[in-house]
Amino acid sequence: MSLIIENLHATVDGTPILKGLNLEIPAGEVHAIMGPNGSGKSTLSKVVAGHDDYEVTGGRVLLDGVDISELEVDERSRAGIFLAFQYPSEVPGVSNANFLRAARQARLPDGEEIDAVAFYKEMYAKMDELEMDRKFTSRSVNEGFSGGEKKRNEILQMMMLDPRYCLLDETDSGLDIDALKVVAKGVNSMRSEARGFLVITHYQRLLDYIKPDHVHVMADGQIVKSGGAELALELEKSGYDFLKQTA
Amino acid sequence: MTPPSALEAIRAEALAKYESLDWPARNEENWRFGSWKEANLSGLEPVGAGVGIDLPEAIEGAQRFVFHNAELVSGSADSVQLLAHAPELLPQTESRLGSPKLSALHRAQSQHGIVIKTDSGADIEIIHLVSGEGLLTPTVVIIADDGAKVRVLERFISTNDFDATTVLCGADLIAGEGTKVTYLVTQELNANSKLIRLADSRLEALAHAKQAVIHTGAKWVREETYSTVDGMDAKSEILSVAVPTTGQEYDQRTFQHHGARDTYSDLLFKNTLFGKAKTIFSGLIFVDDGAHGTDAYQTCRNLMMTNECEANSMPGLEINADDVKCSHGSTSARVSDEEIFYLQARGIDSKSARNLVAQGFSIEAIEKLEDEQLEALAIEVVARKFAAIE
Ligand SMILES: Nc1ncnc2c1ncn2[C@@H]1O[C@H](COP(=O)(O)OP(=O)(O)OP(=O)(O)O)[C@@H](O)[C@H]1O
Ligand SMILES: [Mg+2]
Repeated sequence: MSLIIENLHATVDGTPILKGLNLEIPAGEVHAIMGPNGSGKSTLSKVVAGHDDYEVTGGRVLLDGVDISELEVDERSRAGIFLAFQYPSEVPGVSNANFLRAARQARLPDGEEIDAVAFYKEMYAKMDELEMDRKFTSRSVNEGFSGGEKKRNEILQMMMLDPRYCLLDETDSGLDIDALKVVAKGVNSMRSEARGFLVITHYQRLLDYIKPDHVHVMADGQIVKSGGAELALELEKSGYDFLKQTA
Repeated sequence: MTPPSALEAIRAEALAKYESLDWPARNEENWRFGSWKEANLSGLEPVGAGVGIDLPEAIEGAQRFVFHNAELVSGSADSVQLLAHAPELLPQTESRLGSPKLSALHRAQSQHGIVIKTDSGADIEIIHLVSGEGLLTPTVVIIADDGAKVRVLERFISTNDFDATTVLCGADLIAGEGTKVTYLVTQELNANSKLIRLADSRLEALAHAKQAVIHTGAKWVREETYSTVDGMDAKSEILSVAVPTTGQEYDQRTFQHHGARDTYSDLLFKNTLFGKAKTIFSGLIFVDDGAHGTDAYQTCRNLMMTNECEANSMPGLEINADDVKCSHGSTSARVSDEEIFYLQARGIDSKSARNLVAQGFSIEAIEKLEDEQLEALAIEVVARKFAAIE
């Protein structure tokens, strides 16, 4: 069981961004991607999630052997893809609780209604775990949330939706040190043999808390280097200069 | 020979006026962008007897009145007066917003309605069950005095999906000193019907009135809302939530008239346009000479769910006093693709995602009602419309 990204090519407005990217994330593993600004990390996560700003011009994405390249965004989510956004959207007028409820409802068979009491109980327990105030249930989704609050809210959604493969796009940016620990704890609590993670980050610090099995470097739309957890430390020390030398 | 009743005399006078006036015509400022031809009701006969259907759930605590067309079929007239018994209270809507002929027609045809006159308080729910091909001319008059607290819900509901009924209704609100009035109207007519609503209100000193309308039905709506804040520290809130789709046109004209110092008015209209819907909003804030210290706000926001819908906004302002705080603005925005992507990325299908966003957009206005029951009803009416679209 794994998420396989196979020779993925994608363009935006005709400009190639992903240029033949290969990556396999087996269930049970955490993979980290690092790489310079603009190298295409967020693009990769959005393409896997099915964003239609990007045209996939080659390759495919397999979820446990099933090609999801033709699925709609919501279908991919229900199939088990979760993207924690680098910049989560604000949705005015839709309360966080109703949003989560709609997302959970969408996973039930037609005609089946969500058990509201059980839902709230579960949501509150997970909010407690993430040290989120209860007031966030009635506030509009992300509206007026601080940067760190938005990121915590992403993790809450991830915990509530029980995905198979989680893509975390710079979830650490904007988090203070304590929040980082809380969020990492939330992520670690979800690590299991049945779930894979792709963690996009610029900072090795996150990887102190969420220990990766593999670290990849992305540059110009491709994975250019892969290694173990020690690769992140190396990058932290010497940066991406090696990319220029090889270019 | 028996002398004509007072109501008949009023009707006869109005009829003469009606006959002397012209139908709205092209090039009239008050009908700019509007479908003036729709307003021509010549040849339309009053509808006959109406019928009942299952009634919606009642608002808890409110006294309910149900009309089948012009006939009151439920509700005791102890705490209210029927218009027939108080014809002198028939509103003399001045229809300064373009429809004097329609206003005269309403008076000439007036046969039924409710007068809520109270100096203590009232909690009233009025349901108009509407059917038949032709004209129906209901009226609601609210006269609150002496600090009374009044809540009125008025619903227009078609009893079938096909009758082309034209509802020409009048509403008159007088909020006396220190009163608090909340008045919600929901228009849930079928897609063949028309609604013309002429609403006047006058607020005296320290009165606080919230008037809200929800439009989801009808093929054509013309609504003229004239609100006068006429006493110091009076506060008027005017709210509208409209959700039209293909085949529906909503034409709303408003006038916020500040006639005294230190008065406040705030108007918020929110239109969510689906399909090939069309809306027209024309609003004027008018501050009288001497109405110093006025605070007046006017906002119309359009959320365009498609590329084919059309929203026209004409905000306006005329200030003849000093030390005034006024703002007016209108915005039209397309539904944000990023928001939709975000919701879809959580597994919510695109239609539900769009409806969630649209509902969230409407809620800003609905929440201002600050009345849990009315808010819940308003959300329900709007949600039912969203669910029916596409
Ligand atoms: N919707 C879009 N329209 C135009 N250009 C885009 C779009 N999305 C991405 N790009 C471009 O694609 C390139 C890759 O962007 P992307 O956001 O994937 O980079 P990133 O690796 O996530 O960078 P960062 O580390 O700064 O988050 C950039 O040059 C960016 O400007
Ligand atoms: Mg990025």
